[in-house]
Amino acid sequence: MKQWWSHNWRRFTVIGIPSLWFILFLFLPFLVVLKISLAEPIIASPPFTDLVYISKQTIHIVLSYANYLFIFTHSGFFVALWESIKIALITTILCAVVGYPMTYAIANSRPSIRPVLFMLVILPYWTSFLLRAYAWVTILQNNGLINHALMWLHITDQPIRMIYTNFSVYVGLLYGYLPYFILPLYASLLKLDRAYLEAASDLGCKPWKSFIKITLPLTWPGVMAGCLLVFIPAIGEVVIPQVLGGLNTMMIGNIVWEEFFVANNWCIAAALAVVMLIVLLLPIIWLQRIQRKAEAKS
Amino acid sequence: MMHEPTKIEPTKNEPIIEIKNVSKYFDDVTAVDQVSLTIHQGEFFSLLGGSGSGKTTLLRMLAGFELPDQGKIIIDGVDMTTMEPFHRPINMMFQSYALFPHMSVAANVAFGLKQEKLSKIEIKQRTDAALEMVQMADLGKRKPHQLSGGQRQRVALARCLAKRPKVVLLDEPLSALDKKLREQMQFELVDIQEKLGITFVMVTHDQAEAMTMSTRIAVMNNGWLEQIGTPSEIYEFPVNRFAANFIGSTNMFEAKVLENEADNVRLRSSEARCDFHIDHAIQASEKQTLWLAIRPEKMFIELEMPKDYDEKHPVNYLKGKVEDIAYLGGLSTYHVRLPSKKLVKATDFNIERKSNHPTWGDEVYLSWEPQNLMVLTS
Repeated sequence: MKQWWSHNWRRFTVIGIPSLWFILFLFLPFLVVLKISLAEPIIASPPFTDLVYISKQTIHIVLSYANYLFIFTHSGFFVALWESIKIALITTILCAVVGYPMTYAIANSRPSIRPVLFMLVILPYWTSFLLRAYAWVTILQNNGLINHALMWLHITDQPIRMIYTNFSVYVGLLYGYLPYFILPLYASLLKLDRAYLEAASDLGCKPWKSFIKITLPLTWPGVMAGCLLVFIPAIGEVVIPQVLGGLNTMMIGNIVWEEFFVANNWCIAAALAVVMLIVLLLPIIWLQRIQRKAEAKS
Repeated sequence: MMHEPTKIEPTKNEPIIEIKNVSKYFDDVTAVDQVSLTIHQGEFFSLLGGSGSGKTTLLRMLAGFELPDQGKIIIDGVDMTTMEPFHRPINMMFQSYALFPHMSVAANVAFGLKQEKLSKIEIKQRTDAALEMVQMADLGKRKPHQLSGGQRQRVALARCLAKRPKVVLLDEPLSALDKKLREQMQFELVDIQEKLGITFVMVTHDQAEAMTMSTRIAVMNNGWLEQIGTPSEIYEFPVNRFAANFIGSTNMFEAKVLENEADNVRLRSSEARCDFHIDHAIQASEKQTLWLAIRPEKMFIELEMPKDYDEKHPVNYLKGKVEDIAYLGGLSTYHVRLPSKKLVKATDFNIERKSNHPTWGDEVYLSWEPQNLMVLTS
């Protein structure tokens, strides 16, 4: 044993620390959530039953699927889930459409100003997300920056309603998630060997066509990684719809929030979280497959 | 490695590339400095130089990836100085090969043809023919990462040739291959070039490679063109010290002109501690300092003192001690230390299995035919 340890401690530590992290902060909390989702709600503190208890010298294990049944029999959850997926998808597309040209411009800028431009993308994220969401309220609201500017320029004489609509939610989500798209794409654009583009040009390919035929396919893994990094957290977004959204924007994250803090029904909230996790697992597995393929190629 | 007899001299002596007084600056560095040269139709032309010599920049200006700050580049009679690379009738084989990793071998070769909007049948035929030429016809479906270095190189060449360019540019084409494959590919490249009669322009830092493959070589140094000529011209008649040193190995002596008459030229070198006697006039004034160079294989090495050796004022003889011997089987290179501490190399063929060769510490006499002495004024 002692010999084994002295031989393997390095490997054990290297694998052990992240594993411990994973168990402590991901796996155990998930087990707790899973446990709550299988309990029944009661009026107590904590507001759910124990799964395992001993009474009359017998061990009772009670697992309830009532919460899941409740979710699957109430269309409201499906609507919210569908709404979340839709909003997350549109956000992802917006991030890709805005993010690709931005990243392309940064990656192709002069090496001396490249880190500066990159910092400009990252820098705002050093302040609180909530604060920045509220900053958007002051920009988008009826007597906010944009409406003031529009009226001052006499483009409109009445404020245009932007705040508390789907529009403001998308603006907020696009703003909030853009860096998650930019980061992996930036890496793959920088990695792209310029010789490929020179070769394409040399073989008679015009620049815009080289972009379609060479740059885009070769940075596709970066685009996909960016899309999933946006899509996955965007589905569960809580802050943006709450701060910038109207009454009709109901995302699954907000429902979980309300079940927890308003209805005090932890069990339904936990069951919702588990269902969402399973739904999100699919794109994550897909992402890993894409990345593995890309690695195998290079 | 010389295979002069198979080398066809350019059939047409028409210029295909004319580089006229071209300069290129990067910030305050002069990469290419007023280079003018003409490359003829059907030549295998090499740009030879060390790193920073400007050879790659010059090649990239031919391809159109860099624009000259000065001068003109005329290709096949058309001024293409500022023409976009995708309009030039030139194709380049990149040092890294730059095969598109997401496309199959056949798709890589067809890529250039698709840009010309040819019919599908013609694209297929020309792709197959190009792959056939480099013996890669069976591997058209493979992806570049499934190929060996040599195979990648062949595909890169096929991709250039399929376009039927007027000129093929090769940027250090063989540097990524191991020695044996490199030598094989040298001959294959030359064979293909001769078969097609297309002009090849190659950049290389390897003088042996340039000598083996090229019909003509341009030696570059610090952005300057030092010399242009056939391999043997550059080896036997270098125009200056740089060319003499860069190509092959050479023994160089600084010397002063003592006498310079039509049939009697005498120079004295304190480095060599001997006088040099040449039987033809040279272009130099008296007392001028110049340099005398002799190739090691043109040095005779003897153990016995020659009869006409003058101990006090040796003429056309060097005396020294053998310090090192590089025995290469077929030949040996002797490193001889002169009394002035200068090291001189002499190569001798080992014609006999057993003979009285000099050995370490031997006192030897070195001599040469006067016509093999290269006189360099710069």
